[in-house]
Order: sequence, then C-alpha cells, then structure tokens
Amino acid sequence: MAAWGFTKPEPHQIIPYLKEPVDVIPGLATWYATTCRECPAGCGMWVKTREGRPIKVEGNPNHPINRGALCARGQASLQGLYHPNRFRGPMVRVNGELKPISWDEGIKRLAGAISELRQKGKSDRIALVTGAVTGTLAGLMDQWLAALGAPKRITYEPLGHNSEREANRVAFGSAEIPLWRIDRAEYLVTFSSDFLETGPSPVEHGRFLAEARVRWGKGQKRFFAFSPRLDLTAANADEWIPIRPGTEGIVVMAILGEILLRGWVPSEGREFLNEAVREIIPRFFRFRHPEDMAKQAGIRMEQITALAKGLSENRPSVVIGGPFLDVETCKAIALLNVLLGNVNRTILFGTGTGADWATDSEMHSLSERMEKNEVELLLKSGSSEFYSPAEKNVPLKVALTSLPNGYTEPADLILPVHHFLEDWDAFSPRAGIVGLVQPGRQPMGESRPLGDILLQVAQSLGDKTFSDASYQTVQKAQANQAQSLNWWGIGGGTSWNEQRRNGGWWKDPASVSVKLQPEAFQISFPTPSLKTIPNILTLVPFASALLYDGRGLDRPWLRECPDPMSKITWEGWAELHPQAAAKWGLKSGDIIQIEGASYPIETPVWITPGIHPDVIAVPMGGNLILCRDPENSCPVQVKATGQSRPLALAQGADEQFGRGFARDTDYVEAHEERTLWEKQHVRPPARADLYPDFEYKEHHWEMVIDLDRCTGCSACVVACYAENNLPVVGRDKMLNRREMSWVRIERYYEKRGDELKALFVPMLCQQCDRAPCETVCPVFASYHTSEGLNAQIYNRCVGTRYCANNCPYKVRRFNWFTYEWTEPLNQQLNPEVTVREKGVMEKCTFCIQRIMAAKMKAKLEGRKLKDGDVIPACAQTCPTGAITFGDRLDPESRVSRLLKDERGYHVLEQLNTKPSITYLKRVARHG
Amino acid sequence: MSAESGRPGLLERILHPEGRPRVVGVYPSVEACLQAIRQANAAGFTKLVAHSPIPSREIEEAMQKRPGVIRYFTLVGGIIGGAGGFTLATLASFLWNQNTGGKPIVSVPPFLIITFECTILLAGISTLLGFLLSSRLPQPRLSPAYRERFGEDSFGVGVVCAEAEAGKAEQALRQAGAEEVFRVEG
Amino acid sequence: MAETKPPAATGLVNYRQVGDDLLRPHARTGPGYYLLLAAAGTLLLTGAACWAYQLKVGLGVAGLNYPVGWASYITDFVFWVGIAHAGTLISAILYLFRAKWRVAVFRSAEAMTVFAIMTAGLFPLVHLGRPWFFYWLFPYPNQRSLWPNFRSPLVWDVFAVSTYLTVSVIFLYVGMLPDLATLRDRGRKLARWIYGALSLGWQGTDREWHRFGTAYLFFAALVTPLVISVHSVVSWDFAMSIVPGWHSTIFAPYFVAGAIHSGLALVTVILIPLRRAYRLHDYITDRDLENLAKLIVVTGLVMFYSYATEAFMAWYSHNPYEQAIFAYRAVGDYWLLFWIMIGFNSIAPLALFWKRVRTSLPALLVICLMIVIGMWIERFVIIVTSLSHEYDPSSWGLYHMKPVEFGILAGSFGWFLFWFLIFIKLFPPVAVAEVRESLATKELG
Repeated sequence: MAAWGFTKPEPHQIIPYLKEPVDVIPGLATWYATTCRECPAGCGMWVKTREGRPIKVEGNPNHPINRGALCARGQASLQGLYHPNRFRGPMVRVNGELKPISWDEGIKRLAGAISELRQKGKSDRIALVTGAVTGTLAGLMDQWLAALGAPKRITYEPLGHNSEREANRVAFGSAEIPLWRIDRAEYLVTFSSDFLETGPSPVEHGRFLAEARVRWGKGQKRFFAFSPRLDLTAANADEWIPIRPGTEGIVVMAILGEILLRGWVPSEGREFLNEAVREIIPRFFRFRHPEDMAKQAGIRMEQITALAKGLSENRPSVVIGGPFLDVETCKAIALLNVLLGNVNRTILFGTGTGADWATDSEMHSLSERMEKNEVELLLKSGSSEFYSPAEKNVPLKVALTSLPNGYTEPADLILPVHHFLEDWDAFSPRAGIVGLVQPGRQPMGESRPLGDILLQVAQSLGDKTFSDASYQTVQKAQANQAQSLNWWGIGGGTSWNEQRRNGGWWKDPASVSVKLQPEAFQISFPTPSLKTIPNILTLVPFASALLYDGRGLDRPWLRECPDPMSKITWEGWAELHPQAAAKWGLKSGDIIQIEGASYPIETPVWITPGIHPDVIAVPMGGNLILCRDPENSCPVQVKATGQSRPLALAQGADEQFGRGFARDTDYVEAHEERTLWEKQHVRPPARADLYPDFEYKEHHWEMVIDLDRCTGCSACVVACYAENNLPVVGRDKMLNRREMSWVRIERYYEKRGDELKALFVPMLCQQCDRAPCETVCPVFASYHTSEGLNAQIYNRCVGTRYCANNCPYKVRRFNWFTYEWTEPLNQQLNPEVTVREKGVMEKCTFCIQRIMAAKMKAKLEGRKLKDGDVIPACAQTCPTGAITFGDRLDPESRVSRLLKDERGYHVLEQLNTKPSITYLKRVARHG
Repeated sequence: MSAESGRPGLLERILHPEGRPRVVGVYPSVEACLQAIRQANAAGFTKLVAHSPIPSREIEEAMQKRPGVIRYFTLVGGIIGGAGGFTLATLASFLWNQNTGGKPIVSVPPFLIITFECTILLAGISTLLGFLLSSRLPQPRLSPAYRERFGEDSFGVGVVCAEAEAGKAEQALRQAGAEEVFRVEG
Repeated sequence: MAETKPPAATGLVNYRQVGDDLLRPHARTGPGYYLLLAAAGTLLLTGAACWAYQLKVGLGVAGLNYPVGWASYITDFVFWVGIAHAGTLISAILYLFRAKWRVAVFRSAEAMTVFAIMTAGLFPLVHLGRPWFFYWLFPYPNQRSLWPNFRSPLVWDVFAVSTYLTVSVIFLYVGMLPDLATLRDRGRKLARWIYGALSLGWQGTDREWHRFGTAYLFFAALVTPLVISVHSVVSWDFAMSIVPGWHSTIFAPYFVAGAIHSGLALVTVILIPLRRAYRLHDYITDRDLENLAKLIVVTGLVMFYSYATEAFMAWYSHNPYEQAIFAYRAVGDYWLLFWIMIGFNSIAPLALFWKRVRTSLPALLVICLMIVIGMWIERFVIIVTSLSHEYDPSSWGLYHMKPVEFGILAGSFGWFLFWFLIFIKLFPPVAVAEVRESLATKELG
C-alpha cells in the first residue's frame, strides 16, 4: 500500500550522534526553567526538551505566580518558536520588497541612521517602542537611549490598564496595577473586567477566584460582573449584569452614594468617611439621588442597594475595573475600594507592575509627533503591539521582532530577535519576583538577542560605555550583583546556577501600604447620554482569552482552539444581541461593515443572547484587521453587506435541553419540566448490570473535574494539542466538523429566571467501564485495559467508525486525512506519542505515555506509584486545578477523596456506561 | 452383461450403477414416456433409464424413486456447521481474550448468530455435495443412450438388458408408441 | 400429441418453441444491449475512479464528518443487501408456497440477488478507513493469534453476508443445470465445450431429476431462514448500538420488510423492460407482474405499520432522546427526505390497490421506481438523522453528500447492471425447464 502512496511511507533511518552533547541523553527529556513572555504576567515555565528540541512547556510548580499552571497562550508559545514564518535573518525593504541582508549590514544601516541623526543633532527624533520589559534589558535600553541622547523608552501594553494606573497615580501616588487578592475577598464586583481572560495575570487570578469560590461555598451571591458582554469573567460570576459601556462610572458612584447615604461605610473605611462625605455628597448627590444614576445606567435600583449592602457587609471585598475604562471611573473604583477598606488588605500596592508603561495620552502624543514629522527613526521591539497610521511619516522604521505581524508590515529594516525560548533574559512581573529567561534550544535561524543588537549598534557607533562583549555577560554580571546591589529590591539572593535551576528568584512580595490622596475626590463624569440612537451601536473591543490583544493570531493552536465563549475558530466575528440583529435582519454568519471606529471593520456577525442589546463587540485581533481602540465606548454604524459565510463553529447547539452535560447545584430544580423518564433514569438503580463488574488489580485510573473551579479558559485544550501530537486542520475542515481536539470545552447557555448563565463542561473520553465503543469494534482495536483505561490501538484500527457512532459523549476523533506538520512545526512533535495516519480512530488516552513514564520512574526508584506521580497534560496546566487524576484503588488518593463529594455526577448516567470521569457540580449561589 | 465382455470398471459402476441401456425408445410426451415405462416393466425389464427435458413427478413415481441420501448430508452438514461456528467464536475469544465493555468471554447471544450462519453455510455446501454425489454428477462424457432432443422436446426410455433380450425390449418400447427406437452398441 | 396441442393459456406452442423463445437473448442481441453494456461500464469506471481517489487522499473526500461517521456508504450497503432479498424471496419462499407464477421471474430474481450481494459487499470496503486491512475482520489463524471480536455486529455482518452470497450462488447454479445442458446441446464448438463443463454432463435422467428436486427443496428451505437472518443482522448493526433512533427492537422485522419491499420494486423495474426487449410476454405475463404488484402492496403496508410503530414507541417510551430524534426527523434539517420516505414507501404503493393502476405498466413502473428511491432515502434518513442529533448537543452537526459519494453510488449501479447484462447474455433469464414443466402439468390436466 505504501508503494501505491495510499499509506504513509516508511520513516527514514535515524542517525545516532557522532559526538554526544553534554546534557542530551537520547530518549530522556531534559528540562529547563524559564519564564513565559507571551504576556506581561511573567509566569514561570519549564521547557521539556528531547534531543535538543523543546517539545512541551509546562508551568513552573515552584513559581509564586502560576504555581505550575499555564494558560492557553503559554502552552502555544512553542509555536512561536517553531513558526514557519519566522524571519531567517535581517531584511531591508527596497521599494516595497523585503530583501535579506547580512547582520553586519543590518547593524551598519541602523548605526548609520543613528549617527546621521546625531550629527544633525536630531537624536531626540529617535523613538523606541517596546512591550513590557524589566530589569537588565530595560536598564540596557535606557542606558542605550541615554547614550544616544534619545528620548525615554516607550513601553506600550494595549491591555495595560492605562486609565487605572493613571487613576492610581492620582489616588495613591503610584501609577501601577496593584495585586488583587481575590482569594482573600468575601465579595467581588467587577466592571467590564476581563481578569480571567487577560487581566494583568490571568493564571494567578484564575487560581485566586477558584480558591475564593471554594471558600464561599453555597449561600448568597458574592461575585457580580457588570459587563457589556457575557465574557469569560462574567460567565464565572454569580450574576452577570449587562451594562452599556460608558455607564460603569455612574453605577460605581451610585453604589458609592448608596453606601454613604445609608451610612453603610464599614469601620475599615471610616478613616476617609469625612472627606468622602464632604467631597462626594455635594458634588454628586445634592441634586440627584443614586436612584437617578441607576436609572441613567439602566440598572434596577434594588440591584444597586443590594450590592451596596453586600459590599459593606462582606469584608474585605474587591472591586475591579477593566482595561478599557476611563480614568474617572477608575478613580471612583479606587474610592469605593478605599471606603470599603480593601486597599492594603485585598488590593496591594508596591507591585510596580506597569509603573513604567506609557499611558494613552503618551501614545497619542507619540502619534502626534509622528504626524508632525518629529520622529525620524522608530524602533519597535519584541511583542510591541503599537501601530499608528502616522508611521508613514517616519523615514526609517526598524522592527526588532522574530515574527512578521501587523506591525512589522510597514517596517523598512527588520532585525530579527530571538524567541524567548532561545534567549537569555530576565523579567520581573512585579516587585519581589524575578523570572529568569533561559534558552531551551539553539536559535532556529539567524536571529540575535535584542540586547546584543543594541550593544553591537552602540559598539559600531564607537560608544565606550558599551565595551561588554555580549548581552549575556551584562546580564550574568547583573544577576551576580543582584544580592550586593539589591538590584531587584530583593536583598540576599542565590547563585547563578540556583537561579537557572529555579527559573529565577523570588520572595514574598512586600506590599507597600498606600494612602489616599485628596486629589482622588476630584471626580467628574460627563452625564452619559443614554437615549439609544436608532441604528447606532456601541463598539466594544474585547481581548479574547486565546488571542489576547492579537498576539495569538499567528499561533495555529490558538486559532484552532474554539473561543471560550463563541466557540468560533479561525476567524474574527462581531457579537450582536438578537434584538439588534433583528433590526438589520442579520443572522449568524452574515458579513457586516462597522463604521465609525478608528477604521472600518468588515466581519461576520455571531448572534448571541450574551451581550447588551445596544452593543456590538469585536475581539481584538480576532478579525485580522486589528481593532485596538483604547476609547471605551465608540458609537458605530452597522451595515449589512448582503454577503454571508458560515462560521467555523465548534459547537452544535448552544443549549443542552436539560440533558445534564454541564450541571450546577440548581440543575435539577431548573429542569423540572424534564419528563418522568429522565427523572427516573437520572440515576441508574444500584445494580443495573447483566454482567459482573471487572476486577481491577493494580490501578483504576479515574479523573474528577470540578466544575466549580473550571472557568472554561481552554488551557487544557491547547495543552492536549501540544502533548498528544494533535493535528491542526484549519478553517475549511473545521467547517466540516473535522476537529481533532481530544478534549473540548462545551459551553451551554442556561436561562435561569431572567438571568442568563453560561455553563462550561470539559468533555473528553470518559474511559467508561461499560464502554459502548469497545463492544462494537470488530477487531478489538478498542478494548479495556486492566487499569480501567479505554485503550485505542492505532495499528489495529481499520476505521469502521462504529465506535464513534456508539460513543454517547462524541469524544472520538477520526483521521479523515494524513495530516502534515509544516516545517519546522514538526520539530515540536512529542516522540512518546504516535503520529496517526489517515483512516484510524483516536481519542483521549489519559496521557498513557505519562502513566508509563511514571511507572518506569517508580520502578527505577524501586517504589510503588504514589498519588500525583501521573498528571495528564490537561490537569497539569489547569490554572484553577479543576482536573484531578489518580488511582481509585488508592483510598488515600485525592481522586478517591473527591469521589465522595455529594456534588459528583456522571454525564448521561442513565446509559449506565460507568464513566471513569466524575464531574462535580458547579456551586450556584442565590440572593 | 455377456460373459465375454468382462466386468465393468469401478468408475463405470459408480457413474452407472444400474448399467448402460442397450435399447432406447424416444417418446414425444410425458404420457407416452410413462406408457413405455409400464410396457417395459410389464415385459419384465426392471433396469430402466429415463431421460426427460423436464422434472416430472409421474416419471419418478413410475420409476419408483426412493428418497436419496441428500437429507442426511444436509443434516450432518448443519450440525457440524453449528457446532463449528460456536466453537470458533468461543475458542477465538479465549485465544485473544480482551475485556470489551465488561462483556463475558463467552457471550452466548452474539455467538448464537455466528452459530446460525455457520449452520446454514455448511448445510448448504454439504447439500450441494450430497446432490452431486447421489445424482452421479459430474458425468465425464454423455452416455451414448442420450440424444440432444432429450434436452428439448422428447423423452427417452432406455432398457438395460442382456444382448439376447434386446429384441424383446425393442418390441416392448415400440408397442408403447415410440417415435424411434435405437440400439446402443456396447 | 404435444406438437399439435392447441396453444395453452400462456400461448405456448411446444417445448422446442419454449426453448427458442427463452434463449433468444442468448442467440441474438441488438445494438441496444451493447449500448446499455457500455453505459454500465462507464458508470462502473466512474465509481472505480472515485474510490481510487478516496483511497489515495483519505475518507475526508467524502462528506462524512464528525458526528456523522456513517452515511451514504452504509446507506448504499443496506440498500443493496435489501435489493438482494427479493430474489431469494421469489425463488425460495414462493417455491415453498408453491406459487406457480414465480416460474417466469425467479431466475432473473435469483441472478439479481447474487449481483446485489456482490455490490453490497463492496461498500464495507469503500466505507473502511483502511480498506487494505479488511481481512482483519475475518477469523483466520495467524501467528500473532489475533482474532476478530465476535461480539461486534460488524463481524456478524461478515458471516451473514458471505454465507448469503455462497448459498445463493449455489442455489442459482444448481437451478440452472438443466438449462445449461440445453445450451450445451444447442451450442457448437467452444460454447458446447464450456456449457458442457458447466452443466456437469446433465442428461435429464430420472435419477438426476429426482435428486435435483430434493436438493432444490432443501436449498429453498435453507435460504428462507437465511434471508431473514441476513437483514436482521444488518439491522442489528444499528439496533445493537445505543444511538437514539437506532436502538429499537422492531428493527429486524422492519428492515426485512423494507428489504423485500425495495427488492420487489427493483425486480419489477427490471422485468418490465426485459420482457419487452426480448418479447417474453408469453412467459412473463401481465398476471405475473400484477402478482408482484400485489406483493408490493403488502410490503408497503408493513412499512407503513413499522413507521407508525417506531414513532409510537418513541412517544410512549417517554425517552426524551428518542422523542427528540423523531421530532428532528420530521421537522429538522432533513425533514424533506423524511416526508419523501413516507410518501414514496408507504403512501405511493397504496395506489396499487386499484386494479387499473396495478395493471397499467407505466404506473406500476413509476411507483416501483419511487419505492426504490424511497427505500434508499429511508436508510439515509435513519442513519444520518440519528447521528447528527445524538446525545451531546454540542456535537450536533450536519452531513452533506459529496461528489465522490455520488460517483461511487452510481458506480455501484454500473457494477450491478454490468453483471446482470452479462448474465442475461450468457444464461437464460427465464428458467426453460421449469416453464416446460408448467406446460407439462397443463398437459396432464
């Protein structure tokens, strides 16, 4: 068959090492500790390398921020390293075309431009825009710019909570993003916040929220999310309150006023009571009552009162604003937090996070300078997501990046820098934590470390201050000075080798107590116009959990992984409420034009109940035109183009029709209307079997998924792609429902009273003890192992697909084609997992390769397997620890203990398939 | 059989147990054919061979056919097939014993289906075997007593008899109204 | 005497005449025949090309997806197995019931059976993800001592279908022996030699005829339960699964009835042009066709009953999944096909209650064609709707048939027709000896 080209050709022979590298033992993985640089959160990361190639990244279990977990973007960082489109070497744009040049020439061109500017005395016309950088690199950049006499470095993070930092500067005198100790909060109110998707530190906040939810338990509602759309954060709240963007401020003030007027200010906040009463009451509540404000915002007053009461009674609490709010709203939130006594208790300052990030006004002024031709050399480094139409006026635009993206497009000179998995660096997400970035492999191409490029330019300019040979020496020197110089604000420290082993060094962040500045009370709101203008909607750009501000766009895994809320893959969309859609007669998939934003957007619509009727929401980057409009609410007009194309949705129906896939503790009451049959069969009788149970001797692997912890962030999905060599099929095949993901997050809308809820349930092979798929396979390709796994033998499978039909959970995946990995993405493939060929069925294996490895390890160490030895990729990366895996036969294992939880249920219990996966109902709270 | 021409060979005896007809009468219809058979019997000839283009119960009765051995072939074949089918399924399940959905190794209901199909299969094949054996097929070459018209529109009655009695036989066949009577040289 | 006998009711003249008439296609074939043969060949090649393409690129070229892992190929399989049933019904069951009129049609019906199974047998291969390993489904000794899973309905299929093919081939062949002999005697040179070998030296002796009768009776007795079992087994491919809309005890009888329904329809569709082409009106009489039509009414009513029962059980069971599926079939994405299925299979045949319709060939032909199409659609509806709206709402999805699948379906008709045409050219499409026999019984009165 191979000869005819029907099957895969035989693999080429493997050539052994002639001279074996030091730390490479063929067949054994080598791990390196580093720091994730996909976003400014700075999670600690372990890179698993095989034969010198990184094949998987996992969270650093010792790291204080992520505690071993990673988000979807972190998991996908590998695809940045192995991206086929990476720049092979320096390039220059010659009349529109990019031409490769040598490094010497590249450096010479940049140095030349700079010296020319210096001679003309125009070195102030140099602008360096970069993403979040800290420590050594930041220091180097600053020295470098200073040496050139250029203006200060401009650090731009589109999701940098610019207004909030500005507000904090005014209110507390420190322009930083504080640390929100949600885990310590008794009550949580968010305004258009996305702390679970992007936030300053999504993994950490996910964990915090999970811990809080567990502590909260049943009882009253404690988490309220005001948000224009039902995003991941709102979906994880006890109640989502749809709100028109721009009205957050007056809602905050209404709550604030209610607390003040009713004298509900708690003891912790008394300190500022007098100023507050003196300043706020006259300015806001002399002529109008909070009720009027609530009316203005279109929120029921009872809601406001209830929230005010809840906040004042449940302390400490946390009130969080989103990244796109305006400064006044953020000030109001700061005040509220102060009055509730949250500041310095659950809202900790002294993190220094984003202290040096540019504000919107700074970015605008940069644009203006470019407009006025006052910028002649623009350097954009790393993951900087800044783009301004004014760039066309800049004579020389230099991109210091490793991958082509929207911002490298206009660049004249491209000097490719290392991907962080090839690079030496350090990153300090907040005071007290320094993450070391060390390479996991040799550079893929001709790229160089950013630091080296700067040094070489400086050297070729003949600058004496930069005599160091390379950036690494600079960094090492500084790392060693760390303790003596107290460079990072951490005192006595650790040796270079320890730092490399740990992936950095950290101590408990010492929070700096802050005091409210009187200026904070100078709040003024333009009364928002709330009469809805016909055919005018408010555009809300939102950052999706996968694409972030658009950085995820070039990662196949992140494009293929369905968006947590919309379940759309591979393309952008605009979210519309059915009412709004009715106005234009739109249905999902119709392509519309959005006019009135900073530039026109053309995108298909997705109709969803999970959005405010007056709002149209567009994911940043999601539609390849990158919409990063910092302004909070921009009125736009919608035009139907008449065209339409199907959306590549990975979800069939949005409801579960009471079939009980995703349940919370209210589930059964919520579905009273279910038929008699369903009620009778929701639990099978104790003994419903014709045959005796199978005897498990050694192990019985089981999994427990706690839906109360699961936020639906989809990190597990991407982790599975990385671990199990799942092919990426692309949009056209997704349209045909040919996805290959072994685990998917099902998202179901549930109407509860007048509330809309979104329930998530991770669906993967349930490894049933009475697996329907096993009996029907004619060749025993699918059978039950002695350890309770539902095994699938690829070699034996002939592809009848009977098993997939007979799987009520629909978790089996068929190889419709032999899928290819474009070079060099194939270097990421996990050698411990077979790459499947066309015509065979596959599915979740509970990461059997990890079970085997753990057994091997235990055997070598001459001990029995103990709980926690085996952790599947999905469970390993789950930020909230929702997934627990273990041996049921071990009564002490965490799984065995969780199985006793009364929230436990099996999906489709009435079929009596006896799944090995038990779900724990999400805890629903009332009142 | 005349003494001078020695005993017929084994194959001959297998293919033509009642010997070769020496005199053959050709008849246009079933009735005529039946008539001839009665005449021949009356004349004391018991070893007859009838050829006909159609299956005819009357002729079979006239020739006093007794039920053959085919039914035993069918029965035995069926039994072997059934037993074999069940054994196959059972043995195979023991040889390659996998737990699928917690079903027992010997799952009787599904195996009964295999059993049934194998029963029919072997019963059918052995019936074919029985048919061929008992009807002495295949015949290597056509008997000299056969005429092509016997496959079309005529009936033949052949009398197996000694050389000496040939005349008497011929007479009997003619009395039954044969269109033609011919002798087979043997 | 036979030669001068007045023509019997069927207008027969004499035995030789019978032979001449029935073997006419064998003797002479017009250009129309070869045109038809060429057409069949072209279809066949199209199908073959499509399959080759699918083998090379992968099953993805078909519209199959996830959740709909079974669709047109399995539909075709069930459809052709169904077609195969009418032949045996007519030749065996009607034989046991001593229905005289079967004489005219049973030979072509049996041939149809054999070729239909041969066609059906291809589809499991076409359907497999890795067809080059199809033999793993057979129990053969191997040094790894791997065996198939006898609990899997697919393995039952392997046994049922292969048994059915073997036994029907034997049945057809044994039944043809006397006619083969006739062809031998009429043939010259090579033909004579070949038919001589095929006819095993049949000479119509009393012994041969007697054994022939016994054997034929036994074959009929064996095939009758077999034919029922085969389609029951096929139906259990579905009934044994837990898919709502499949998991139902009525499936076996329901499928058997459906099979016979479609089979009878196709027999009629083939016989009408056949007897016209070869002027066989004396042998395949209008009365025979009318009898077929009456049978079709019966099977049509059974289908109607089955549909009703299925729906009733879904409602009566209170099983929400079952109910959802039936609601989905009636008003969901595939509603049109569902109503076509009802109309073509169970409403249209009711028209045959009227003698005027029953006896008008065009009407009969149209209704039978509707049934053939309707029965294919029935299997499609059963398979696709259930899979596309199964238990997990998030995995609901639609299936659309792709060109390759149409090509292979067309190819299957080509393949079937090709064999059938060759058969009627080389062998008597109507059983000569049996027709002569029926004439003889008339003689004896």
